[in-house]
Amino acid sequence: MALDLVIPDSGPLISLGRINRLDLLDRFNCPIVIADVAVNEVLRGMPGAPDVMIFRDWIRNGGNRIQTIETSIGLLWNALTPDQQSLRKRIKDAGEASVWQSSNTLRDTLGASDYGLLLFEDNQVKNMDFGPRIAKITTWSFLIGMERMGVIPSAEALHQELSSAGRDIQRDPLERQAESAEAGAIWTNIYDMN
Amino acid sequence: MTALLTTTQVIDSFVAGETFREETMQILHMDSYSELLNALADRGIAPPRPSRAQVEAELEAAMPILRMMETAGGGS
Repeated sequence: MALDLVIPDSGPLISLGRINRLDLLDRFNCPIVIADVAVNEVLRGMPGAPDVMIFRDWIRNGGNRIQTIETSIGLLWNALTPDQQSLRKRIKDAGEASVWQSSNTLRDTLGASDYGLLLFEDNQVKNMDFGPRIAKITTWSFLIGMERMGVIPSAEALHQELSSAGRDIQRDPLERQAESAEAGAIWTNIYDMN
Repeated sequence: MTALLTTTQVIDSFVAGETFREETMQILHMDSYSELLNALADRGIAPPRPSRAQVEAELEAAMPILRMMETAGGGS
């Protein structure tokens, strides 16, 4: 019997990478199978973001434990030159298409006695069929599981870390909550004006 | 989906589970999920999480496999 840890979308990797807890995936002695589109996304990152180095190191250190599922979207992306990739940035519906192809690959290749745990955050994964021996679990549920197994003290604490970790790039400087706004206020209706 | 006008409206819709992640990123012209997490962090919002019922249903199926994986060689 073989056991696989499957990651078809980038969400779990990005979430765990931001709080520097990719070790929660490393603790299991089994292959980590990731869709190529998800690998591309985590390695692309944002200019200056610390995440990219974390993922490069993690993938390098993972050696042959980390395996990728080839998808047509991933192959198409990898065939582009770096200049073309930076111009295009993102292929429309790439996530959904690559997750669907990953589900087909896994369903067709998993052995009769093999089991897998599939980590996801993209809601579209919920409705896709990965076969009867794959248990799908969100990153949050995975953290709860780790807490129940005594691996981490608090899933809630790690989840809250996600709301602040790695935040060093301002994306939309034109829209900010007014200092005078109360929690829960509609931001766009409240401005700080003298 | 009704047209969403501002970044905040789009983010709110995502947090409420009304807009999927991919669609949210597309509307906001984001290249990576990291950017969406950053936008949430700007507002002091942790990523949305599934309902308690979904969590328990997922764990019921996943815990046996997690324990098998742990036994197979986990553990530090």
